[in-house]
Amino acid sequence: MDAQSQHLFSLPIPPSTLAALTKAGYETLDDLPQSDSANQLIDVLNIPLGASQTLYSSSQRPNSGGPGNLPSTQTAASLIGSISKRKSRRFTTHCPPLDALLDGGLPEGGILELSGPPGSSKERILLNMVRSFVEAGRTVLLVDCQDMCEPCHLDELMTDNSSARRLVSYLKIGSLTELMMFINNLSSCNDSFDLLAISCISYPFQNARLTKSARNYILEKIKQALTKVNISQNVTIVVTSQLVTKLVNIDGTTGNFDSVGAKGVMVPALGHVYLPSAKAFRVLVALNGPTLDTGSFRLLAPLKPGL
Amino acid sequence: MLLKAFALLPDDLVTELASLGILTSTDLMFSSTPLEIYSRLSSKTISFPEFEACIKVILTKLATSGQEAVELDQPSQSCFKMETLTSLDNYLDGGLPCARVIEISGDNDSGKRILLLNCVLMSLLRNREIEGLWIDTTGDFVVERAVQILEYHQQSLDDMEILLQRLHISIATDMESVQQIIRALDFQLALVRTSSIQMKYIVIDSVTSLFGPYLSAVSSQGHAIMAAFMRYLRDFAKRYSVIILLINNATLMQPRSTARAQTTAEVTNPRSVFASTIRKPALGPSFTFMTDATLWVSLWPAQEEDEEKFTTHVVEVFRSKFSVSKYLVKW
Repeated sequence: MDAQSQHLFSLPIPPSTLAALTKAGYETLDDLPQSDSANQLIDVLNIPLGASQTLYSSSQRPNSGGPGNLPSTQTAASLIGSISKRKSRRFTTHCPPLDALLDGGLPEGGILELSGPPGSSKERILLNMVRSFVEAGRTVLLVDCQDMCEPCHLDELMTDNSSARRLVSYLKIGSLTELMMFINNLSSCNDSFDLLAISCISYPFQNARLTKSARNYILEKIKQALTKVNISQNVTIVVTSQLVTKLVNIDGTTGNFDSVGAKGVMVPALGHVYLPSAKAFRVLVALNGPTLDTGSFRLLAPLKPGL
Repeated sequence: MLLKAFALLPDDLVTELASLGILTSTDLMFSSTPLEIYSRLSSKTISFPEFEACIKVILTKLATSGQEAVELDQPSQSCFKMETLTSLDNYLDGGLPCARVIEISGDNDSGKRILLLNCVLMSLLRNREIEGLWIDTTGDFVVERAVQILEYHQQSLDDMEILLQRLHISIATDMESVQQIIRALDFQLALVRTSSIQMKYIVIDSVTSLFGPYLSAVSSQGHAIMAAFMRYLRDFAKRYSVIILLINNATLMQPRSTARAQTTAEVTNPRSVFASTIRKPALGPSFTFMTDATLWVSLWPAQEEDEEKFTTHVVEVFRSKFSVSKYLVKW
């Protein structure tokens, strides 16, 4: 078997199509007729149009040229150039201490996670970011997982901006299943937006009974989808998350309620697995007391400055 | 391969065989003996010796060509090698050899990415006629790190820019995109090029996130995808004398389940020299056999007497086709 041609089982086609093609004897992309249009396979083998289009787009020969012409590829030098151009545009959170922590605001194409206890103003900061983007004339997709950011609140916040209604799209998510459907459809979404704001991404995970491996799998999927959309379409991502208690022993290892001397530490509910770790800013918003007047911000990541 | 793709077979024979359910060359060779297939043909348009001759032609076309042993004994000094760490290079007779697929695995934060980035950049620095491709699948690649490394080696801004023009960075978060990029590169390298700059490195960072979602306990399709792609990479490396480096993550060693097994006891990795290694490369037990070498990078625990802020890492050769295994280097 020729190692050079791509096998059909590695293509994203439905199992029924793969079975029909295998039964007809087609094993690799080279076996498919090249000069015919897609109609031949549809008529003879009853393959849906979408699958046959995938097959023919995969078998198309790419353009000639150096490695500079590869899909999704650029040289490191041009990547640095585009990053410095991107970083010059920063969006304010309308919260001066947080802006100072982020070195002037969130850069375009950056990722920010805000986690904190109930009552800390993370949702407020999220809406401030939405306002920043709307004031700059950019489009926003606001995903509400916990019913915290109703469209009427948004309207009140942006009464002076008439284009806000046109620029902001709102989506309500009720369960983990809906969240996963949204994540799966994210990269193939036709409408482009500049800011993806997800309110309380940890909430759908609260009541879902998941094994550890299933949870890790879902978090990896979220990371993949967010990375893809962040890099390919330069979408800025702002996410809020709740906190959970983690019990830590004196020596630093994970403990439980029975361990002697174990302390409870509040950490972001989903950990860092679901974010592209090198670029994401993770900020903990804490309150300084029961009066809710003062609070503090703590930058959890990235630990090395200048990134 | 489909029988109708063979121009040497007569069309009516192909149609007859198709009516018997024999569509591909695999069916023709392995479903039954030639005599039995011939007896099932309804109309005998060709004679049996002619039918056997057709089968022989197909066999000759599909079989791998032989190679004499004297041709295989190529002198290894003329081959391009990638220099890594001094002691590892001394052991490997110059460095990592070209036309190979090498896996670098280790835990999170063990230093695999920074090690590879250093080695690739140093190689690009020493040799101005080569270029490299870094495929980032997780979005964790920070290009400023490359700048920091070059600044440490006292490169001026202009030199840095020229060097960084030879390092290509791709972002591909799934299998499809990576396949597209590598096949596009394959097509471009296959055309005769007058350019003096040669592609010598491809780094895929990391393969765990690429293959991991496909591997499952209930279906072997994921494993087939992984095996087919690894075979394609091996072929690619051989054809263009490229070094392909794959970064793989680590998983915990599972204890063998017996009635008396203690589930809380940690299992050590028998491939490692150290008893403290309790993790193994991810992607299952067969992945290590799909590459030409497996290097394991781990973080050495910080000693109390270390006052300066540096970290110590250890590289072990778990398995290698071109050197002896179970060799370790500390840097």
